[in-house]
Amino acid sequence: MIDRCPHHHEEPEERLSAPSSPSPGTPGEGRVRALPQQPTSSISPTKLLPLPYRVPAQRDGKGGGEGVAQNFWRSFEELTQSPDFEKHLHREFPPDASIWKDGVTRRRFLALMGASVALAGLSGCYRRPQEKIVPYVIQPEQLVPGIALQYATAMPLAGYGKGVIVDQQMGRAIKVEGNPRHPSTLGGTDVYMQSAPLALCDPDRSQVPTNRGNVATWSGFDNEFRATVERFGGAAKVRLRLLTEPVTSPTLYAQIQKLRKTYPNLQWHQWTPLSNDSARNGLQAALGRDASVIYDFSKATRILSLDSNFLQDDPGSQRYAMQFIRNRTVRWKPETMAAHHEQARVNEPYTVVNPLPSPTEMNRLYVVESAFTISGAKADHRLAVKPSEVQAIGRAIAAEVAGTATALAGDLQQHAAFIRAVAADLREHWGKSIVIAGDGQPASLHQLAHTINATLGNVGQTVLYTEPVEPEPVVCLDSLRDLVHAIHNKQVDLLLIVGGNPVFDAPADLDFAAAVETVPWRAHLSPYLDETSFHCQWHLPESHWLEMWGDIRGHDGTVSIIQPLIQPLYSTRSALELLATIAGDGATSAHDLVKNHWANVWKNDVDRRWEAVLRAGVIEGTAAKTINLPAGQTAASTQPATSPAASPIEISFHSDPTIFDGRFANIGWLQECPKPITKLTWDNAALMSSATAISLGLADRDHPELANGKMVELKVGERTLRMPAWVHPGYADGVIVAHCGYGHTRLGRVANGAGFNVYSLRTTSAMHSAPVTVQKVEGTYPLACTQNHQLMHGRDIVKTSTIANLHEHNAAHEEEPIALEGEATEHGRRVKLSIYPEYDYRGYRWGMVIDQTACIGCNACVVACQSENNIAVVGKEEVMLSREMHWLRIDTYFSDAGRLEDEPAQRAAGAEVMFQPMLCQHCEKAPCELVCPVEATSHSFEGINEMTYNRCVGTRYCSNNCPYKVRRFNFFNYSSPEPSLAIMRNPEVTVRTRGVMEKCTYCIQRIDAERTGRKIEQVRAEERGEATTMRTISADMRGKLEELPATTHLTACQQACPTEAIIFGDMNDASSFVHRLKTAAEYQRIHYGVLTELNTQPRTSYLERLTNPNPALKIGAAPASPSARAGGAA
Amino acid sequence: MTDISPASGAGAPVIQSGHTYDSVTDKISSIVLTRRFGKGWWIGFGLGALGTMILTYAIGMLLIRGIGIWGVRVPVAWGFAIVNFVWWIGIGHAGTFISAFLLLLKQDWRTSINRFAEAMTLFAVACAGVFPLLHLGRPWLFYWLTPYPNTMQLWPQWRSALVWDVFAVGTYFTISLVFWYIGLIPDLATLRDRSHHRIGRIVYGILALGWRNAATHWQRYTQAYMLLAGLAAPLVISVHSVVSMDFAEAQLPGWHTTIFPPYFVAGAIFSGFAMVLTLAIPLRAAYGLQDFITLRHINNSGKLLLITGLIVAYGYGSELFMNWYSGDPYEWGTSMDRFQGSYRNAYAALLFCNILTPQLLWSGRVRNNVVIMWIISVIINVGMWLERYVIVVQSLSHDFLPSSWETYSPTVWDWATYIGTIGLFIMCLFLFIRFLPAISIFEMRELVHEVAEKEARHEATD
Repeated sequence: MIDRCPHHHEEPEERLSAPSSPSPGTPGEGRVRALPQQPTSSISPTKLLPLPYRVPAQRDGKGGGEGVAQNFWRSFEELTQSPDFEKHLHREFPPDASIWKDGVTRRRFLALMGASVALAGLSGCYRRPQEKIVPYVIQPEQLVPGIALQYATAMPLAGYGKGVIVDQQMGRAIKVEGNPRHPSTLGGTDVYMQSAPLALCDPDRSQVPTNRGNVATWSGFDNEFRATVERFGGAAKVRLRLLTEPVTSPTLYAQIQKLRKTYPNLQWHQWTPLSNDSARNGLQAALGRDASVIYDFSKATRILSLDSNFLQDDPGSQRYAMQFIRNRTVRWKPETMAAHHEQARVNEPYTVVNPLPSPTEMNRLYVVESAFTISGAKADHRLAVKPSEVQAIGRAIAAEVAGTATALAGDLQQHAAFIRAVAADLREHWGKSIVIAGDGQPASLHQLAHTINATLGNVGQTVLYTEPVEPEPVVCLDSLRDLVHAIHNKQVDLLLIVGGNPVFDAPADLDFAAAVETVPWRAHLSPYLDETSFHCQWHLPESHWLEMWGDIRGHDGTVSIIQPLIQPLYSTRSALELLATIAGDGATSAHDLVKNHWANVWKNDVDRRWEAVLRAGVIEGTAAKTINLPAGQTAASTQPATSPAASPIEISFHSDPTIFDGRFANIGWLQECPKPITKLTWDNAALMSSATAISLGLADRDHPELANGKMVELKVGERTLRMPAWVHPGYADGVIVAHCGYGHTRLGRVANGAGFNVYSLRTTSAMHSAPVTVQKVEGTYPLACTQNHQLMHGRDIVKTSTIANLHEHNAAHEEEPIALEGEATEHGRRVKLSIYPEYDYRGYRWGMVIDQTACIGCNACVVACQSENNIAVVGKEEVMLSREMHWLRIDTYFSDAGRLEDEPAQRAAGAEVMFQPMLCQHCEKAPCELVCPVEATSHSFEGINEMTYNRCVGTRYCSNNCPYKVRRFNFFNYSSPEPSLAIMRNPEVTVRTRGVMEKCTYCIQRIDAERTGRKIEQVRAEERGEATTMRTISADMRGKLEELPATTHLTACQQACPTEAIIFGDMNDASSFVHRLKTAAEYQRIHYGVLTELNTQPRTSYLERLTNPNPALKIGAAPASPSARAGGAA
Repeated sequence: MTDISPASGAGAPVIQSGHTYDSVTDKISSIVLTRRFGKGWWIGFGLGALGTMILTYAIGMLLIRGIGIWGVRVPVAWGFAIVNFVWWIGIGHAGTFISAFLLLLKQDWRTSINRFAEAMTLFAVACAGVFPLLHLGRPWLFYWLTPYPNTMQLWPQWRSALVWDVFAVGTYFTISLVFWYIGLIPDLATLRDRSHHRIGRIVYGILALGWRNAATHWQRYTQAYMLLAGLAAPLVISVHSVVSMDFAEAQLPGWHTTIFPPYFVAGAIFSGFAMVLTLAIPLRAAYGLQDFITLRHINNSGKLLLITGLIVAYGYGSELFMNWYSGDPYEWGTSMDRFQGSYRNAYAALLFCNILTPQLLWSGRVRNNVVIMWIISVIINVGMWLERYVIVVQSLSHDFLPSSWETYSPTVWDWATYIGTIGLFIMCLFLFIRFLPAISIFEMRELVHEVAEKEARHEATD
């Protein structure tokens, strides 16, 4: 009823309050306008450059534009003089933030009694705050309210960058997309990138520097820093230590070099908790020098992962995922997302190159792992083992590959078939395979993997060695240990921690918190006033990457410029600005620092190149140079095996698939995003197999799931941690998997108290896995899981098949007719399913196909949908009541292989997992539509099942009658009224209020925006007398569709997907990919709809999940039948 | 009819002999006019009023905070509210059945119980009506379900059973109210005439609409009453049929069944008669009405319980059989889940309450034992509530995609609302007993006349 569009509220008023600085842009930069200058900051006028090339094409104006910053918070100095300051502070912590808080006082009781007399109507209206709306006196050039501008920038994560394109509306970052030109992503995204708008607007971000817990100013910090340096003998003498995250940024590195000149005693340390230390050491051992490795999965047809989650954890994961899936899916796609978009624009019809690869051509993935990662989920053969066993299996495979195999040790006998089959398969694909080891494994295994790659001739083909991407690569653990050692030896006067949260995530035995307390003077730059800040005298608020200048390298070394979309919301500085100030460069803006750095590199033509680079988002030709190894240089596997000692139960530490190493713990979207495979939200747990749980006395054989939520005490060495158990298929017996990053005590309202701090068990000697003793203890802990049933119970929900079967099946059923939409095949002929005539779609007819072979379950689409459609976060309690609001969820099912009755090895390996993105199916005969008493949900003339929020009274019958249960209901007013969150909301999408049903709309706002844009384009072209540039309608559609331009718009989930698993388009357009997938004969054997037997005629359909198991292996192989029928009723 | 043994309910008279017009009128009207407000009345009324306050509070909380305070969730988006709605509506059915159906069928034994059965209907429907309104996400927009003229020319969606429901329940309430009130008019006139209190005379006088006991009045009155009975009788069938279509229209396994309309109607009368007994047995004891509500009534109600109970059992059986026979994995999955899943206890309990317990009623001795009958009636009430609970909640919790399966549990607010409506019902009932004649005086007088005539005829033939 109340459609609050929060985007037009305070903005003009704020704009008036911003000091209007004249544009100092040079004459040559006509479209570039300056940001309003921040009064006290040293930021000089900076320039924001929009992207000439847009994704999707319609969503902006005519290419130009400028950043107009929103000065929501003025400087602290200004605020202290303003009576609003107190109010502002309090506004950040509203007294009753929690809407589901219970408890009733007497006064409240009386209030309620009074209210109930008034009955309905009361809650339907409340006073809205008065707002002044003041228009621009002079409309800034290129800024059209309501039309998004796109900017290319890059997201730094643990030192590496991922290129993004950010949608900006009136200075507000609304949506993050992948930059197709960035080599690390190829246009794909992950959950972390998608969550950036919320991270920027997080009301818990720290907003001003604090000095010993009191609000302070930046100038205060600068003064105290200088004074302290003097106190310790001046710049020449002061023993200053700098602790950063791994640094790849050329400009930041240059600043550090400069700092070293200013402070000769400066020591620089780098630390990130989930570093690639062992990979670096292993590579060093293998090559005898520092190097980086990148993989080319596009050339690899056989892949062996030794505990590596390369689809998610690597800085280049999106690229790897896309390359990996390209060699796997049976549909053809253009080379990159960029090409895809251009393709769509220039009207090249999609062609099917190789619709059905042979089992040899399709890639095959073997995964040996201790956790259950999405890489394991995509494996054709997965072996779940203890972390300590990976090394032995790797060695056995290496020996087999090299032909030096000896008899397998006793423990390995059970995996003998796997080891031989993998080795044989790898040997058969000489030069076209990859063996990749995970960061959790010791360096010796990494070295071994490089040796196998060399043996197989992969080096230079699929495995490329480059100069190190980091300018000064270090082993993070050693670096941090050195720092703590120095602190203990009283060698540190000043400690500057730039980014990271070492007090929270450093190895427990270093006791970093205690150590850091002994440093005489210490400061911490971070986005939150976190655990580390608490132990430092100075906490310095860090700018979000959407509000700062910088540069950063991708996984292959390619540099991207980080450009701000908005002036810092609060009084914050970036790492670069902080170091520049300390180095004495404070007068130079970050923009100039970055630009000057590259001006020095480029020498000439700087402005043009600078502008081009900002538009493209990447600096071409900056990738790290490939090292050409002389043949045979890779060290032979002479290093003795250093397998950790096996123990009955081992714990394995992993990065969390939604909050990473804990830095995203305060992002509600990520906390509520169900973790791939386990579907847990808001917490971590001790993940274990059912047999492990039974052996620990947590459950009995008949009901292993009873162990879920029971508390256990984990003891690693002398350290203990109590956390709840969670039983899950697919884990090796005797393994506890724990995700790091939870258990914050001081980060923000969302993070604090969520989960359990696994870092407290990690020690320098056991960074990734360790023997553990587990004890059942009293108590239970509620865990919020979004999917409690993961067996299909014999229902054909996710159909799965093997490529070999598909070949056979195709040959056998060549002439069988193909059932089209709304039809079924019976006795070799097609029959209509409905007695009613079908609606004649004369215009667009939208449809979607989801390729389950391509879906890696990474959740990028889930968060993208949340960001695009203003989907609310409901909180753990509500998730436990299964009221989560995700319009798109990824259903995860297990085959019933791997039951408790099976042998342990079989059990762990047999848990085959299937991902099914489930969203509104936009049924042609939608069951939701006819039961709505007020017709709030109805069918559009383009086939979209629409939801009219204003009309909805909330009977929820539509949800009851939806067989897919994709409708979400606002049981409360979930959308937070937090003012800072208002600026991240997509103004094109209504913010829903309580009592209203909502669901996927196929991003109808994007469709409409494109339609409008196209029409304007068409009209203008005709006015100019030009032929339209739009795609012509194919001949068979002509007449029916004369007027319609073809479209290229992408849904948010589609655009976010790193593996192009989601394809959306116009089914009436014969040249569209969707049309082809839904009608072309070559896809009909694998194309199906879910629950079509109900005659819902869903227009979202699926491609069967195809696997390519090794015929030589039976255990853990994909089921032989075309569709995996998981029987039983557990 | 010759051998009247007091021990046998089946042969018991519908009114104990020896009553005259005067004694009937005195006895019944004295409850209203001369009897003091006893302690028992105050306790009963107080409990009801307390429940009503709880209801008011729960409703206030709901309106202020939102439907989320209830236990509903996805996929179980309907919970206690709909369960209680169907339960209350079902209870109401006995009243209409007794007053309309049995009137048309000229069943003289209905006379002494029809008045309060009708009142029960009215209050039950009022209690039921609370729920569909409150269970809306935005209850203040409930009127959008009705066809009212508006500038956007939007109408309800006629394909949705929820719209039919609005009409069915609305009609039902209206007809029940009118029928009940018309039935009251001659008695209101009696109270007017006998009241010793000025306010009583005025209030009853206004309510009596100028009834003067004229022959023309009686002639028109009888006509109107019969016509209304004719109108109300089909409602007994239609209302619960429509309510059942709220479920049957969906394609949810466990809802999508053609047996629902007849099975719901039988279930409604089943639960309605159970409620009549639950109320009538204590009432006759408390107010000494054993002469008017005799063992005959209890016996006959028992027989009706047995018959409708058997129909309900047939419904269960048929549903189960069809789910198996159809070979539909979803339907069968739901059936098996009822036996094995999270709601197996509720399902077992409802089978016990609704199928096993009524089998006792085959025995005449059980039917004549007032205490056992009361216990059975309470068990059936519980069973029928459980039936609706299982239909609504279990079916929703276990649908097509296992990924969405979730169980439901009510919150304190669900219980508060439910208990609150029971309180409202009790409060209304106590007010009714105190201020209106719980037994139809004029019809009882008629009965005295008829019985006397019958006896006279017997004597003549002897």
